[in-house]
Amino acid sequence: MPAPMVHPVLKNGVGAFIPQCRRLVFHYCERSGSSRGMIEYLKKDLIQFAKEHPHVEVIVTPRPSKHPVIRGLYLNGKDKVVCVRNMEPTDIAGKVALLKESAGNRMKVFKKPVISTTESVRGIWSPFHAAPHKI
Amino acid sequence: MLRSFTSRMVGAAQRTNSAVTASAVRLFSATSTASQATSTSSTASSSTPSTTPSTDAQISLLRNQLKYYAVAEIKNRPYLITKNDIIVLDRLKDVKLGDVIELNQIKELGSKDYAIQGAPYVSSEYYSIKATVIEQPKGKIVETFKKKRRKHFQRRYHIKPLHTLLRVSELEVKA
Repeated sequence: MPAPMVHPVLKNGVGAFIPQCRRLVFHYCERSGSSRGMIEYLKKDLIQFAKEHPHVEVIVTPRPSKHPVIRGLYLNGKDKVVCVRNMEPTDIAGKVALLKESAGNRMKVFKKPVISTTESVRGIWSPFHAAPHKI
Repeated sequence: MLRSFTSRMVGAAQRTNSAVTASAVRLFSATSTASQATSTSSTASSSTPSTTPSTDAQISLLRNQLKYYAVAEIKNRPYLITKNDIIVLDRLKDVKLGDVIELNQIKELGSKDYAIQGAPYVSSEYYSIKATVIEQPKGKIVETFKKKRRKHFQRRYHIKPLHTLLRVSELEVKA
């Protein structure tokens, strides 16, 4: 019987930090007007971004007759797609930064300020180990 | 019902008896500017010590324990953290992915039986607490709905909060 898959418990940031975004794919259309800002961004700002982030693989591919799109691929295998139709280069740079700083997880509501998997340090209260109450 | 107590007893059996007396003699206080030993008061109900322990003696008591927690103050908000935790903050503008932040506003530094409360903060020569920026995501849309009935008033506000996630990479008590 083959051995079951063992998934390591990953704690990114404790020993070493590994950036989670590994690829950004830029799709644009040569002809359509909604890609105008995207083409300007690709010419002006993208090379600088790629130099500053060598861990991110940057791919630029024409996708004719479609709106311009940025697709980010992450280390957990998931991807995030952002449509940047009719956006200016500064707005597109903002979307690129958003994708670069994310980690591939779903967007969720953070209800608690601290997310912890360690057991409580002081232990769980038990009536047999607490000072008896006095009336 | 006995069922709930048995599950508690399994975990409680691992604790030592010193927890019974030590939990009553739990808290000591230390001033933030103390480089020399300062006089402190213990909030014990059962025992009245004749001499108050010095800060260094308190730290050595703490260092003999195994696990630690700290109450860190970041942007005027308290976060109770242990090692490997993720802290969820509002977006920090002047920070990049991978940056390591040293937390130096620590209100309380504690373990199972002892805790040191700062006044207002514990002196930073007694601990080393570091956090790494691991992610800066956007949260899910939060909707606030306000309505006053029979007054033709209702509003919907939508916020998509920006966060910074910090991973506590180091939490150590130094001698």
